[in-house]
Amino acid sequence: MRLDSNFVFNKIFGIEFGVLSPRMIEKMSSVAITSSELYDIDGFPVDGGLADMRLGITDPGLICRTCGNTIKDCPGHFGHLELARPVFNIKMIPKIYDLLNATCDSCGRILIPDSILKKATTTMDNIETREGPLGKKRYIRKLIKHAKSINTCPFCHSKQHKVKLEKPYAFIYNGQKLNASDVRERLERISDADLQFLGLNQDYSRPEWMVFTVLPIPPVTIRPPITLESGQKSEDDLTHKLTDIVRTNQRLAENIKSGAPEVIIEELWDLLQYHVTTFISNGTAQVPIARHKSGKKLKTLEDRIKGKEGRFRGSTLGKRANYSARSTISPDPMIRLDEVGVPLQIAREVTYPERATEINIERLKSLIKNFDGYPNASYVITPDGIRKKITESTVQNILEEVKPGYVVERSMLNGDIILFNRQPSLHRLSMMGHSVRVLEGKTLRINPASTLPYNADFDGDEMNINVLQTEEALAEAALIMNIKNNIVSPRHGLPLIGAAQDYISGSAILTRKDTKLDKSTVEDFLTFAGIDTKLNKSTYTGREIFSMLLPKDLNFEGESSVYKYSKDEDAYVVIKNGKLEKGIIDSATIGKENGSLLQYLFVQYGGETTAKFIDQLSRLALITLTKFGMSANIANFDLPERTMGEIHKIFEEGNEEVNSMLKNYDKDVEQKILALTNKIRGRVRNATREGINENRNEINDMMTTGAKGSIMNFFPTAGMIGQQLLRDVRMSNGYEGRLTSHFKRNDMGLIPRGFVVSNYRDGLNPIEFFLHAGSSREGLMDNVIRTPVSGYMSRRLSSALQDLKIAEDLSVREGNKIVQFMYGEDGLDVSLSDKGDLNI
Amino acid sequence: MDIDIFANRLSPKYKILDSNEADSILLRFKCSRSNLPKIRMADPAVIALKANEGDILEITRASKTAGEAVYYRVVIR
Repeated sequence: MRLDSNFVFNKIFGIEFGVLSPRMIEKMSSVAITSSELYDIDGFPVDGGLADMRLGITDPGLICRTCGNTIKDCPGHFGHLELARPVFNIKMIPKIYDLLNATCDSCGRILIPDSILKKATTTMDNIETREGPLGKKRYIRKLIKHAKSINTCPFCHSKQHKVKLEKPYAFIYNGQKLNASDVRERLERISDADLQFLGLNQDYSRPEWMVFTVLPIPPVTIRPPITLESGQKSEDDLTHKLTDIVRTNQRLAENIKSGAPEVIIEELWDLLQYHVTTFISNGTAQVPIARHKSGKKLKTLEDRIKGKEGRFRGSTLGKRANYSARSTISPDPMIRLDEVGVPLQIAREVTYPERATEINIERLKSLIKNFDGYPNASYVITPDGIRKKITESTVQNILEEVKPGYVVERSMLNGDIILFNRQPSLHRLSMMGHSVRVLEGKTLRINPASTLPYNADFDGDEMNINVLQTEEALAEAALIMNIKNNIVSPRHGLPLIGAAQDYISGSAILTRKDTKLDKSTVEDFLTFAGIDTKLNKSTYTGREIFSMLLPKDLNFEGESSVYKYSKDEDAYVVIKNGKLEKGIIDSATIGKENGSLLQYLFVQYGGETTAKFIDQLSRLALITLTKFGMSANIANFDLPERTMGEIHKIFEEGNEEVNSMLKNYDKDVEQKILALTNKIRGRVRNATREGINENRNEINDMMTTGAKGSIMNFFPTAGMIGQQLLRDVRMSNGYEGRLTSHFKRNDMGLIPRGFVVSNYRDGLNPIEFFLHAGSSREGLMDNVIRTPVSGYMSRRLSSALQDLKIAEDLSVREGNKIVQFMYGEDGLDVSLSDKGDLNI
Repeated sequence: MDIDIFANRLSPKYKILDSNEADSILLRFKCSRSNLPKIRMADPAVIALKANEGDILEITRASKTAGEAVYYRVVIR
């Protein structure tokens, strides 16, 4: 950035808010507006019109008649309009209303006795030092409220008639309408000494200034006309409104001068008031909305500031970013997990400024030559900072001109590092560095292994990419932010990127003890996975193929998900010198938020190796699953006769126990029954687990490998669903003393209180179905209500902690303030540790 | 009733640093007193220790991750 001598450096001491006085408006004005015309017949701005060249310049090449600057440096200058009759500032109406009723209608003093006022000055000061400006504001509001309730002036003892406000801006006093002039007169009578009690200040906010006599005309620079393609000028909404104001004001002035009847003057005065009101705000209740001829609402001053698209929320807190793109995402398992598939259209449009050097100049020149194709370059920037567009007519000159030191804005190329982001950006992994892979199609492509940290799925999610423009940013994205270096979470030390669902099923099938493949199948597999090795055997086991992905010196031991389930020794994973000796590779070793092998690889071999491993493994798993096939069927849920009988017995026993409990009634009986239903559920679950036919049961395979589903999904499907709860107790509401009219009154047995004996596969009877739906509804409701609540809580927490960082000495600081003397008290990087512990 | 608050098993170990120790802590963390976490004069531990404003307390707490963790807090009004 260039420091300009025009800048004045000063420290802001404070800001005073106030109301502009007519004198101030005139003083800061450079033009008195006298004409409602914008341009004369030749298209030149009319002197004293709303496009007067003294109000600032919007055309390049012209010079401002006030400051002598061109469009670049002229800040614009205010003008003013002398109003024929005063009008209210709509935003000041509530304050004016307060002022009229808090002051005497004859002497203008505040309606509070002197004795109280004397004390009020010191009380106000005390409150301000104690509670700050907000406390003072509260106190003043109390004073005004008090003054408004007084009916006799304590100073001149005259009886008070209160002013009524008829929205939007009519004041009724004693049955008569007060016009803006009358109101202004009354406001003028309020003495300077009383202003402090009304929250005003004689220098910055005299009450009568709340009624306009002079209207400030904003500079053209804030309401520039837009030149359409047809060459016609289209004026800004504010200018439209201002012409209305000026025109009405002129008519009003003429009518007053010619002594027109009072009715006509009143009518024009009202019209002027309307135009001034809709110039400031277009949303006031009971004021008709000012519209374009097309019926579109006019943008007013207020609209520019207020709301989501206003100056604060829209322009200051959030901005649009250049060099970025957004599109729907879709999965592509054939690209690397650290890549992002970028549509050609985006790659052509969004550029990276590459500095020309001796080494890359020839390559850049070929990009320049190819300016209308891909890969291409679209601009060059000379060392003096001049941007030149590459076109048919400029290519030759630019090609001759470009030399080291020039910057060439070239299209995105394969291998470029960009940032990939999905909102809401809840943690640092919501924005990571990816490598570009230009592809056909219009969606951004992401490897499904990388979706978890972004919380992305493919039901229409959109994501953003940002092309980095500086070498420093590029270095950070390529190293610190790179997804390859963020495979393991800094939160719990487990991999966030890894296999899920099909990929787990696939690799579990591949690494089963009995999986054997002949040479040609192995060739197919390895080609698909992108592994290049010499084959010297005629058959391979799946475990041998898996071992080809592993580093040659890897030694690893760990429980697989299947092992945890079945304690089958063959499923326990043992890797020696890069050979999988035994074990099934499933969710416990390679799964998302699970995989111990991935975590070990990441810590021992780094992100590059781990990423490559995941990529090759998922493709291997994919082709395994494709070749071997895997279909679940309804028979997977068959339980043997013996088990079904057992489940039935569990229920019958429970039912009998409940009946005997109800006979010997005591006050805790309901609680005891509830505990019993939980016990029944537990026993049914265990009986189901025992009874599952493990032979050729794909559903069971998915459960044990951790690919999808668990016993909690299985037992209500195959065994028995069990008790339905509402607000954590057995269901009880509905008809008097019973759930539905199908039951006896006051029967507290299992089934009459929502116990479902059926299972999902065989189906529920209609009453069970109804009660089950009640429970489900509660779950849905809770989910809908809880999601935004917990989301907001975590957002508040993130906002409170967002500036914490780990300093060089491993202390955690906010700015220079120490929060923790050693990060996590042990100074460990969780993502490089053994799930938060040190493992040496 | 006088209670020895430090006798409670949940109470961490406190120690008032002498001026040499205090300076070395500030030097070690390259910061001033105002950058340290604060503790009020009215805090029961400060009252029991009879620490003065500006003193730095060394607090040794049990830590889940590190076994023991040392914190420093400066006594404020």
